[in-house]
Formats: sequence, C-alpha cells, structure tokens
Amino acid sequence: MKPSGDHDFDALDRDLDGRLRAHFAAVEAPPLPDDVVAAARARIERRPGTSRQRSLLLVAALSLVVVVTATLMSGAVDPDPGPPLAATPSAPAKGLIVPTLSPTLPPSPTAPPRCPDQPFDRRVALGPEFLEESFLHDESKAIAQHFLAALSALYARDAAVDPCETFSNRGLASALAADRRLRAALSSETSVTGRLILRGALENAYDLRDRPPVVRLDVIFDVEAGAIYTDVASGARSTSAKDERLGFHIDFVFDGHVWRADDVGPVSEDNADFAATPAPIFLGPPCDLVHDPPGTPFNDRAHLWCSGDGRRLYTTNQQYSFHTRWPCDRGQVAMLSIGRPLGERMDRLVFREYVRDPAGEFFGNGWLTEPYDGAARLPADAADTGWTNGNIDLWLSPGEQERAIYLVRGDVVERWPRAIQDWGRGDCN
Amino acid sequence: LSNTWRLGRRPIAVEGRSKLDGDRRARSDDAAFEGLVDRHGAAIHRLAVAIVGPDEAGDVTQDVLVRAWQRRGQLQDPAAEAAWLRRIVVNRCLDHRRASNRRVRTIPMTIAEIGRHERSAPETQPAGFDPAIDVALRRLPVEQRAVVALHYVADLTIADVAATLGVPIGTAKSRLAAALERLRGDLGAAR
Repeated sequence: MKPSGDHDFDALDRDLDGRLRAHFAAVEAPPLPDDVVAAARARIERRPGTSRQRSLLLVAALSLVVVVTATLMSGAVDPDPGPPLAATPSAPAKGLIVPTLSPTLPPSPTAPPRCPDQPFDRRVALGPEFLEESFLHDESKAIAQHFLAALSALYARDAAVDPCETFSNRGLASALAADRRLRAALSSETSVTGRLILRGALENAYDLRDRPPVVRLDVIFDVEAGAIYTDVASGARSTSAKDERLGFHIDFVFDGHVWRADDVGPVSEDNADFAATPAPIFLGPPCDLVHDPPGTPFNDRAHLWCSGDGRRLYTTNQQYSFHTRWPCDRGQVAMLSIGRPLGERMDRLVFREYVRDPAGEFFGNGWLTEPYDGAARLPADAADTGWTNGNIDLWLSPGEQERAIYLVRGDVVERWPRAIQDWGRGDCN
Repeated sequence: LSNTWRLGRRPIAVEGRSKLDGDRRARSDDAAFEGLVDRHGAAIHRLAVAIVGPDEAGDVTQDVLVRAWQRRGQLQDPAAEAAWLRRIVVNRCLDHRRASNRRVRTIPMTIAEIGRHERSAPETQPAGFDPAIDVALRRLPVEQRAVVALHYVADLTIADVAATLGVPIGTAKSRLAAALERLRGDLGAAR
C-alpha cells in the first residue's frame, strides 16, 4: 500500500486514512474462484471465434438478424414474438365481447401525432436534486413507472391520455419507430389492454446539472400475461399466455415541469441481457461433492451446489444464487434464489427467493409472509430435487413452492419461506 | 463437389487446413485467455470484492472477463490494459448494483448491532482487519465505494481514479471526500 495519496490530508482525517490503509493491507486478496473463470470461458466458447473469417461470418449473421428483427419488430428488444399484434381479421370468436373503443386516435398510420416543442423553462427554480450529478434516491424508478403508466394507457388507446404529455415530438417519433405496440395503437390497428410491470430502471451515464436535465434509462418491463390484444378493425381478440419482456433505452428530458421521453430506442448494449431471452444454460462438469456426515450443523460456507443429475451448478450462470450470513457477511440470514421451474435460468430481474431466518429478523420486519420453521415436517407431496451442496438438500412441494421450500439436513427439515420481494444479494449499503 | 473440382480446389485439403487453423486458433485463444486471467484476474476480483462485496464479486468478475475478451480489439495500447480493465470492473459493478432494485435503505441493523454479531462470530480475522471499517465501507453507496476501492485497494492517485471513472479530478476528489465524511460519521456513530 502506498504511503500517501494526493488528496489533501490536512482536510481529511489522518486517523481514518491510516485505518483504511491498515484495513485494506490486512484483508487478504481473495483468490479468484475457479468456477468464475470456468464460467467466463464457457460463455466465451459459446460465441463465434475471433478470426477475421469468423468475424465476417458473425457480422453477416448479425446483419441478417438485424434485418429480420427490424422487419418484424422495428428495433424493440422483444425477442419473443408473443401474440400477434393484429389479431386474425375474421369474425370475433363465439363468446368474445366485441370491444367498444373510442375512435379518437388518427386512423391513418401515415399521420402520426405531432407534439409541440417544450423548451426548457429557465425561470423555474429547480429542486436541490438538480445540483447533484445523479439521483440519490429512487427518482429514476419513479420516472420509469410514470412513463409506463402512460404507455399502458396509450397501448390501450385510452383517449384521455395525451401522448404529448409523455413524449417530446422527437421522442414520439423515435418511440413509434422502436415500439411496434405503440405504433399499432396510435395508428388504430391494435390495442393492448394489460398491466405493464416495471422490472428495472437501469441508469446510464447522466448529469442532472445539465440544462435541460436529461436522464438516460434502460427501462425493462413486462406486459403481464393475460394482456388482451384487440384488432381494432375487426374487434377480434387474443390473450397473451405469458409475461412478455420488453425493454427500451429512453432519454428522459426535464422541461422544468415534466419529464418526457425524448429519445426511445433499443436497450443499451450493457443492459441487453436483462431484456433478452435467457441464454441456454450450459452444463457443468460432474460433481464429486462430499456429503457432510449426519448431524453436521447448517454450513453456510458450503457453496458448491450440484444438480439432481450430478452436475455442478453455476451460481454465475444464474440457475441459483445462495447468499448466507446476510447482511454484511456477518448476519444470520441465508437466502436461496432459484428459477422456475427449478434448474431453468433465473430471471435476473424477478427472483424466487427463499429465506432462512432463524432469528426472525425478516419476518419481524414484514419481509416474509410466513415465519421460518427450523423444525418442520415434509408435506406429503414434497420430493427431493437432487440439488445439494453436501450439507443441505433441496426438496420442493408442488403445493407450496410458491410460498416455501424445504431444506433437509439428515433428519432435520427446515422450511424456508419465500421473500415478499426479491432481496438480490446481501448488501450493507 | 464437381464445381469445386472444376475450380481446382481440393475440398478435403481445404477442410483439413481449416480444421488445423481452427485448432491453432483455439489453442491461441485459450492461451490468450489464460494470459488475461493470469495477468489481471486476481486484481479484477479483488477490486470487484472491494466494491460489491464477496457475494456479487464472482458474477462481476465473470462479466468483466467475458467483456474484456470480447472487446480486446478495442484496446489500442497494451500498456493501458490494467486501467482499461479497471474501468470495465467499475462500470460492471455500478451496472450490477443499479440493476437490482434492492430495498437497501430499510436494513435495520446499525453498525453497533452488526458489531455485536461480529464479536460473537467464532472466526478470527487477520491482524489489522478493522471490523468497524469493514461494515462502514459496506454501507457506502456503491459509487463512493468504487472511489475508495480505486484509491485504497487499486492504489490509484486521485488523477488516475478520475481517469478510470471518466470524471474530472475535482469530481473524484469530492466523491472521495464525501465517502470519507460518511465513513467518519458512521464510525463515530458506532463508538
């Protein structure tokens, strides 16, 4: 550790500086886990090689994908085709209710609405947050949620919602190019009635001290399963069977009064994984896990997990995550997150997270709907999944797995309730 | 096949040469990736641990290795490889954090409470390990932790910290000062 930095020690606390240096000097550099390197290598090896020839092939392949994608989806990150936007223009199926939609939107797709320019109002006294480089709280999330509420109404062709309250003129034009659902709704082709659930408002670089202030977000959201797609001309409907993950990169600009979407496009490269269809899971090597002898207490350091077919599971592959000693690597709580169904890649923005809460801290804070039970009994429908870390075995009950999972150590059965919201990874922040 | 022969090519030979080239490339890529890991893997992981903590550092390190490998063609100056990788680490740490909408502000434990847990923990820490510092660091916002980690763990000057973050030197200084101020406040509260 170097003896001095170049900041002003006189203005800082020399004692703190010394304590920090001593602390970091004492903390041993953690070894780079082999499985991290192996997982990185596996990800690299799944991709095309690096030679010029293969790069050209890759470019050609990507070009084809881009063309197809642009044709089909006009740039939106929407890898799942989902229900047809224009429902079959035949007579409505028997039993369906023909919707009565307000014909207030312009019928011609060639005449998209235009919004007036809203220049930045320099007379407005901005709040203190605009003196900081970035938001300190959940403002970005609030902006995204507000945007989605309006987008949902526009998808549904709600005549009471003015798109110019949500978009600048440039923003609306770019959104129409990027978002086929919005384009179909505003051109009176198809409406989408359903909930839009914000999954992530991921910040890109921005500076609130700019004028006008611009916040750059990747907004990831789901059109919730059960959304009704209605062909406006015929009234025919179809219903989506599963959540559809969408994502857009949006520059929100503040005019002094309202945040408007000023530029809408595909999710930025850095966050594309969050909006993309999950990549296939690669198989780990065979496990040679040694099981703890019966009676061994809960071992939160046994991080290696193996699947039922005897293969190594990669937490870095997002099949599961297992965090213990939460919070701060010193607490008593353990959290196991899994995909659904078990073994599938976890949705990075929506976890199913189960909590070992021996001291009742989570339950006491209202973060669990049920208390943890350290001396439970397996329900009749519980089955051993084969997942184990050598110390605990994972059992699932089809009747209960939305509420709890069972972890078994010898003859000890623990029931870990599901967290009300996902906790992600342990954090003391 | 007949067209190929008319053009005077020998498909089997071509195929064989391609395979050999592919094998050589694969070996070369393997060696290059190993080199990347050998040269920088530990430093990448240590910086990631310092910024996002041990639980998340594996994911970040993996992402950094993949990203660095995929974008290695962008690196013009091999001498700048370490700095380039540090930038990727910090960016991935920030992305990682911002991506998870955690309820980080509702954690009930104070440093004093955590300290009690810690005193009851059976494991021993290395001499010099400062548990109060450790906890206070983890309570910093990730942006401030990144500055502290770059300065104290990666051992960078403020100018290098600023270059890594892509911000003016004054901004890096103010971020470090804010981080230290917050640490002082937290440590004072724990006394």
